[in-house]
Amino acid sequence: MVLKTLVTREIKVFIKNPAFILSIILLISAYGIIGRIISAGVETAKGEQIKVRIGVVLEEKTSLIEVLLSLLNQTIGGKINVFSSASEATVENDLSIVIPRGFTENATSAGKPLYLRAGVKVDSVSPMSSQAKVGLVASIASLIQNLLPTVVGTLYNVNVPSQKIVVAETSILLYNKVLSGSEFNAMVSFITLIPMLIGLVIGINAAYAAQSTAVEKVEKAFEMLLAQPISRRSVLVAKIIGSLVASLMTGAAYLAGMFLMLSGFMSTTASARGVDLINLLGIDTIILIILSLIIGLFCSGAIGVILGSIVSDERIAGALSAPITFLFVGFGLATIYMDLPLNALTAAAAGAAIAPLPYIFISASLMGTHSFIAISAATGIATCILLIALALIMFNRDVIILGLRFTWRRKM
Amino acid sequence: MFADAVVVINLVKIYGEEVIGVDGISFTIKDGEIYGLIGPNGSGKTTTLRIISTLIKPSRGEVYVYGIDIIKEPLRARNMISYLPEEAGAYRDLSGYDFMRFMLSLRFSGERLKKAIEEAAEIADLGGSLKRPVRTYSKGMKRILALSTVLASRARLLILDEPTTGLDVERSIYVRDLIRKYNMEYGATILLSSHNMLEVEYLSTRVGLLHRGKMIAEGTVQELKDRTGARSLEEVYLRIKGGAG
Repeated sequence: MVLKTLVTREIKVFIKNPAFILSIILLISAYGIIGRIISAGVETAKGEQIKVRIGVVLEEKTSLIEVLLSLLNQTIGGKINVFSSASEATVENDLSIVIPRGFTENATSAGKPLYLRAGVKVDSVSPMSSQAKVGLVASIASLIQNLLPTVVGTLYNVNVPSQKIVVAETSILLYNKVLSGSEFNAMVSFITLIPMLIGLVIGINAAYAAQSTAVEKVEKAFEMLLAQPISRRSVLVAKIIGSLVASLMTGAAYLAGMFLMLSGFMSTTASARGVDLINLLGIDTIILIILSLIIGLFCSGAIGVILGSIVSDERIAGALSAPITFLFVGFGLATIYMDLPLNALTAAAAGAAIAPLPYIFISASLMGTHSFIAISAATGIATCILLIALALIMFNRDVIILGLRFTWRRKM
Repeated sequence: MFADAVVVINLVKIYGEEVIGVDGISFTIKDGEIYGLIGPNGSGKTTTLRIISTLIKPSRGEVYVYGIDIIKEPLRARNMISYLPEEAGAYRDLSGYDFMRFMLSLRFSGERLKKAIEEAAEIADLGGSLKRPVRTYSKGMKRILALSTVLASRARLLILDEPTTGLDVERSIYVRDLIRKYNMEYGATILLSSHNMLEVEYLSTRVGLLHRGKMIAEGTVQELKDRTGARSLEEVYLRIKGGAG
C-alpha cells in the first residue's frame, strides 16, 4: 500500500510535467521520421541494385564461357556487356567481372577451385547502398556456381554431380581509391560507427550541460552567481565549455574502449589484419571528423543549457535531455542509411541538422569535393552561433530564474 | 555624488499574462540607509529584490541604483550590488572555503581577493568546517556561508532576502549585528526583506509595507507607529492591511 503511494507519486512527478510529455511525443515523432528515412534508403538501395550494369572481361574465350555468359545474361535480365579491359569495364559499369585465363580448365577438372576477379564502383559510403553493390558480386559468383553444372553437362554430355565453389576476389573503386574487400569493409564499419558515436557523445553533452545548469538551480547558488558583476554570456560560455570538456573526456573513454574491443576482435580475423584506417581515410578526413565533433559539442552544449535554463530541477533536465541524446544518435544513424546524395543542398541541410555532419564530411573528403565541406561546415558553425545566441537570450530572460511557466486558460 | 542609493519608480511585474507580482510600487532608499521590506508570502518582496538585483526584468517602471539604470546597464549596476537570495545555498561539491574563493574571485583578484576571503572566513566563523564539502553543512551553515561572501564583497548596496531564515536564535542575533556593523562601519546601504517584523523594526531606518504587490505604507518605524497608533511594527502592519483590504 505504502509502496503503491510512493510509486504513484514518483510517476506523477514525470507525467504531470508538460516538458516530459512533450519529450515523449518528440521522441516518438522523430523516430517515426527516422524510420521512414531509413526505409526510403533501403528502397533506394534496392532500386540501385536492380539498375546495376555489369561489365564482363573475358581473358579466354571458350564455348563453355560463351554458353555460361549467355545463360547468365538471360538470368539477370540482359545487363551484361563485354569489355576488353577490367579498368574500362569498372569505369563504364557499376560492377565488373573478370573471367580469368584457365577458368574453363579449372571448371572441367576435378578438385580445382574457380576464381573470378571482381571490381565494384561505389560512389557512396552509405553501408546500405555500397553493400548492396558489393553483395551483388557474391550473388553473381553464386549464380555462376549454380549454372556451371548445367553448362558443363549440356556441352560435354556428362553428368556433373557436385557444384564447384566459385570465389570472387573483389576490389572496390571508392571515388578515386581502389580498396581491397577487407579494407572497404573496415572503412564502412568505421564510417557506420563514427556518426553514431559522435551522435552519442554530443547527445551526452546536451545532457551534461542541461544537468549542470539545473543542478546549480537546485543547489540555490545560481541566483547568487547571476547577481555577480559578470556578464551572463561568460556564465553561458563557461557552462558550454565545461560540458564540452567533460564530454570529450567521455568520448575519449568510449573511443579507447571501442579501440580495445576492436583491436581484440581484429587480431583474431586475418582479413582485417593490416588495415590502416588512418592511412585509408587520410589525415584530412580525421581532422574533419574531429571538427564535426567540436561543432556538434558546441551546438548540443547550447541546447543543453537552453533545456537546463527552462527546467526547475535535474530530474526534469534528465527527462528532457535523454530524448535529445537518442535523437542525436538516431539522426546520426539515419543519415548513414539514407544514402544522402552529396550536393550543396544536402551539405547545407547536414550542417543545419548537425548529426549528419560527420557522414557528409567523410563522403565529401573522400570525393575530394571541398566546396561541400565548406558549405556544411559554414552552416554547422552558423547553427552553433544561432543556438548559442538563443541560449544567451534565454540566459538574459526571467525564465532562467523562474523556470518555464505554463498557464492553462480555462474558458468560463 | 548620489544622495539616493536606490530609486524605484512605478515598478510593475506581471508573470505570464495574469499573475501580478508587483503592482506599481515606488520608493527611494538613501545612501547609507537600512531599508526593510515587509509583507506576507506573495506580497512581492522577493520579486522587488530580484528586479533591483538585475535577476529579472520589470514589466514596467524604472529602477536606478546609484544613478545607474539597472534595465539599461545591468552589469554596471551589479558592480554596486551584492545579493543574498532567499534560501541561498552553495555548490555541494566545493568546500566552504572554495565556495568563498570562487564567489569572491568574480569581484576581486590578488591581494584584495586574499583579504576578502579572510574577511568572509572570519564572518562565517565556521572554523575547520570551511574545509569540508558544502554537502555536509546544515541549512544554517550554508546560509551563513552565503551571507559571509555577500558581506565580504563590500558592495555599496547589500540586498538581503530573508537574511536570518533558517538560522537559530544565536546565529540570527549574530547576523543582525553583522548587518548593523557593515552599515555603520563600512557605510553599506542595505535593502532587506523579512517576515520577522521584530527583526526589521530592530534593523531598519525606514520600512516599506507590501501587500498583494502594492506598497501600502512607507516611513520610519516611529512614523508608522505614530500614524496608526500601534505599539509595534506587527500591529502597524495588521492595522494598515485591515484598511487596505
